[in-house]
Amino acid sequence: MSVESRSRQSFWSKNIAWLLFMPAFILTAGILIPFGYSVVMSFTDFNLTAGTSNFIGFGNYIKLAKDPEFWNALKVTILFTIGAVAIEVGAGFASAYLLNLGMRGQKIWRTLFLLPVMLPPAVAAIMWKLMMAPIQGVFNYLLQSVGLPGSQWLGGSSSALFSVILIDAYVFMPFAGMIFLAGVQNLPKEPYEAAAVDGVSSWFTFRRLTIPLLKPVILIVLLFRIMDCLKQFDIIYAATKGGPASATMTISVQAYYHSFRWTNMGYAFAHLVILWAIVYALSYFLVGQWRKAVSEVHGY
Amino acid sequence: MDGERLTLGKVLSAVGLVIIMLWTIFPLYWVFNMSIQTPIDVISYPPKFVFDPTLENYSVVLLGKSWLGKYETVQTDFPRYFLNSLIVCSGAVILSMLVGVPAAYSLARYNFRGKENFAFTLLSFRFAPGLIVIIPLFVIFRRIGFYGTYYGMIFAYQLLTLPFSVWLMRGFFEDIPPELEYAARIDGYSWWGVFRKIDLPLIAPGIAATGILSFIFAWNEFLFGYILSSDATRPVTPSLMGFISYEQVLWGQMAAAAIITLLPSVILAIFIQRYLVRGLTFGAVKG
Repeated sequence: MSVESRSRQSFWSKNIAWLLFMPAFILTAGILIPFGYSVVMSFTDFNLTAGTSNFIGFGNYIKLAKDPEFWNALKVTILFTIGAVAIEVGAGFASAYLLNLGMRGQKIWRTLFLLPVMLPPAVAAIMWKLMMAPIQGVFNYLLQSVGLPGSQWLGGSSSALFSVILIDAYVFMPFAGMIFLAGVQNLPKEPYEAAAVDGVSSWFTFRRLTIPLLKPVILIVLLFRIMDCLKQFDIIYAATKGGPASATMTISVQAYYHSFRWTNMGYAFAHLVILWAIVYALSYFLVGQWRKAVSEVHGY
Repeated sequence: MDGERLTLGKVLSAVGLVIIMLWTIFPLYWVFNMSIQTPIDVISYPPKFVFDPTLENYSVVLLGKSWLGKYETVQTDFPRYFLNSLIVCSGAVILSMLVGVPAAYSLARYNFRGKENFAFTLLSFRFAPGLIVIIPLFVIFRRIGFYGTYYGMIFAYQLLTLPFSVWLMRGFFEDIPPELEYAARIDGYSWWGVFRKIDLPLIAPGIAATGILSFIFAWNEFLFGYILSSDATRPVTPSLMGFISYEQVLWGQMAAAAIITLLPSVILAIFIQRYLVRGLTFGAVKG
């Protein structure tokens, strides 16, 4: 082996880890550029129509703090997240329990249960919009045929938020359910056998054994669902476009209007930076909790 | 239930299961139902559960034809949107696999400085609201002439699929014991030989599942396509918003378009069911 080829070989083998990793990193680091751009531009009065982009310091953020529309959007975003996550986690847990009882046809039920999670969320929203139509929609027909009053659903200022929460829950409840199901199936047998020998009540077993052992998967579900609900755009935009009268106007949708309707890019970026900070802080906290829970349960 | 005692618990469980199944299946059933109704049936009240089915909505949507008769129709380029989706999603997936497999292998097998930080940076998009990345891309793409091109779209979509692929495949590589590789190395295989003969066959199902999941994510994506495409390159999922403004008359066609759009995702998902838990949690939960 000549000296030259050996040195080429050693360059290759010394840096192989980098050489393999770098192409992917370069392609996705592309994301840091637009991201940084957004952060920087949130300190300007960047406006596509007016063509301005002057540095205005914290101007956009001060404007935000005084903007009732922003506070409304923040409130809607938080209510949407709490409502959707609560339904998804609760119903998801119940579904996981029911789909793990060994009922007849369980395999088929599990497959059917999963279907909504793979739907394009925007398409699911359109499907539900068709069913939620106040006059000819099938939901009101079904409600009225059992003697209940119909609802304005997406069209009513008091029912719209609940309606988009339902759509989100339709798509993502199976996500929570399938992860809980995986968690339940992976539970160790021994502690339960020991509990049975000791004659512990099933409620006590559930609270003191199942919940702590499932903590890692519960935290993963919370992490993904909270993160995605705070950012949710597709479902809300496709179903209501933020209306009626800002009833479903989340920060994401509001930022969309500021940017693409009113070309107030700088102000839109300020919205998004705040939203990003909220999502990031919560995710950071939940990831930390998850790591802790994993090490408690698995001992590493 | 022969021989088994019918307890209250069992009845309640069965009722619960029926409720869950109705909740999951009814919307799909109902929208399919609407998609095979004539314009008169679809807006009739009370809604019709029994009717003469027609495939006309599908032919109108798929062929972009006008509805023959007195009803309004929407002239869309649905076949073209479908093709756009295929081009953009396949492009993003192929790119993700080409650079993602080596990167995943590198993260699984080697230690290098700042590895975890780099790996985590890949994920940062998952934490960011979509618009914070898309608006600058929109502005930059317009400036450099990438706006509305397939290249631009593929670049944007791979921002979604590549980090996901790397994280998921890293887990699949980590499942292969390194001892297998060492043994093959001792047997005289080159690095490439080991990768090809030992790793690839073992990880092939994982790569396939990752590719399919990435494709589904790309297919389902709405915002990227809605903002970064021109009319000529619009993918099918965002194109559905075009039907909204005609909703009063075009329910049947909207339903048909929705069914056509969701079909590829649902069919592909059934094939890779086994990997869904793992895939949807970026490998954090091994189902």
